[in-house]
Amino acid sequence: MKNEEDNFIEIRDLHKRLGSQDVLRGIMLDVRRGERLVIIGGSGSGKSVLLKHLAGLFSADRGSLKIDGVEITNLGERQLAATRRKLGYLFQDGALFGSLTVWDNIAFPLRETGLKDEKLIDEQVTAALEAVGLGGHGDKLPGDLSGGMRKRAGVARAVVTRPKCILYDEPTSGLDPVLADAIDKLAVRIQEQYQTTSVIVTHNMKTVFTVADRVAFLRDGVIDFLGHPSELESTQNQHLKAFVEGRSAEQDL
Amino acid sequence: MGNFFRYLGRLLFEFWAYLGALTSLVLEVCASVFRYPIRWRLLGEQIVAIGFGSQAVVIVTGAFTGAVFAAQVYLKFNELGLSSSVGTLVSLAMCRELGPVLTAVMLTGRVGAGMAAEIGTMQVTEQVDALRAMAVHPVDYLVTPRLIAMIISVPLLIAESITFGIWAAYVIVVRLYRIEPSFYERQLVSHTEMGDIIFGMTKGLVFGILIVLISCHQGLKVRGGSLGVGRATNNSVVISSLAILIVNFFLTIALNYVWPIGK
Repeated sequence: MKNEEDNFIEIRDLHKRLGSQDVLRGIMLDVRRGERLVIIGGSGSGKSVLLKHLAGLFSADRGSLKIDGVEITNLGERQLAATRRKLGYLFQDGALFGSLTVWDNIAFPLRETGLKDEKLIDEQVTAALEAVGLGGHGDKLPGDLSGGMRKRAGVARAVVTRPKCILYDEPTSGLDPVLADAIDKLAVRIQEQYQTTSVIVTHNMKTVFTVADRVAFLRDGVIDFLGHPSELESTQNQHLKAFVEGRSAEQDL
Repeated sequence: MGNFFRYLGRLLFEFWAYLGALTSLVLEVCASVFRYPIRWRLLGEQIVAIGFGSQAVVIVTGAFTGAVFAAQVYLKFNELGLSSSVGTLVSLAMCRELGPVLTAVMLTGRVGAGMAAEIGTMQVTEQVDALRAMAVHPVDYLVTPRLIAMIISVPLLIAESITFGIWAAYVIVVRLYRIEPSFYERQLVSHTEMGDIIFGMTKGLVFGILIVLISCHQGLKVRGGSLGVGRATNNSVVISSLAILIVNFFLTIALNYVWPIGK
């Protein structure tokens, strides 16, 4: 029996309606400290919406969401700051600030934590750039980078403050298989190096088998499966089986 | 008929909802200005973008407005034997109306549209969410520096517009229509009060605040990709321009009690 304190994230009966669609319909999920949880699911199944709830970027209509023991569903934008500083967030396209260089983008969260020592900032940004293989690209603008480089710069920005948890939104989407593999390995290395909790949202089954300690399958706004990646092959859940095998059902056509 | 009233009701509801959203933004900005540290680097960048970057637009607008106004007025005033009063009229019109209103309208196009487009693009590319995820309030980072920069820049821009308008009018009536310069200067100086200048500056300040709030609000509420950004940019110009013209009327009535014309 796992103790509640072992969980970095606790989600209970989380609901969210966007427009006329019930995107999340009672999510129940725990993410343990230091684990790499991968959330899979079809397009439009609400994976990114769920991830955004974890960072307080969306507010839930109903339910409970605790991050590191703090209930965040009733917190305002400014009250969420303390919780958000415990998190790093990799957005789908990196979401780097177009007017800042890569170096300044990565220094940004450090400066926002109140760090004034430019030498220390320089050391930490350089280390983060080296860790993602972007040493020497710091003076470029995000517009001058390829998609893969932007993602890696996004990873560097997410990890530079050494957050307790990193949230990855489709880290490998739009990348070639080699780059996707590099990003997956980077996520594993970062987790091992900094002992962070990682929540990774993806379509990519290779990411699941490379990265995941546990995998959650989101369908129709609920967690339809939660288990070890090795259980995926023997699952009796037909929807999950079809998703893993990349096979469409007749009604999907 | 029922449809018409339903439409009218919806329009009124949307208007009140819009005013509510703007008021909420004003409250956020007030909290940001008084309770959280100012971002000096961003403020500096915005002063350069708004103040320095608008020089050419403001100078050309002010100068040509003054010149055209003087040319039109001179022809009629000369007929009436009042040609020496052209300076007075140009000065009062530039200080109290043309300087602040035209500068504000030009700033709406140059600065307001840019703000809505920039913030809107940040919104659709998740950069605003990235700010929030890094515990940075978007109002602190995107709105407050722009508002303070506008408050600092707009009185100077209006002063510049007025100065160039009066100077261009001087060139037209003195060089082109051969009015005695001392007549023009004496009339201008003796009938322009400090109250006229403060009148224009006050209006400009209010217009500047309106431009920033409306444009930033449009940018922050963008949805729907590049189409949404285009719509927000367009809306920011239309709403700001209308707001300036409507608020100008009420401000003129109110400020005339404080600084009445000709007293």
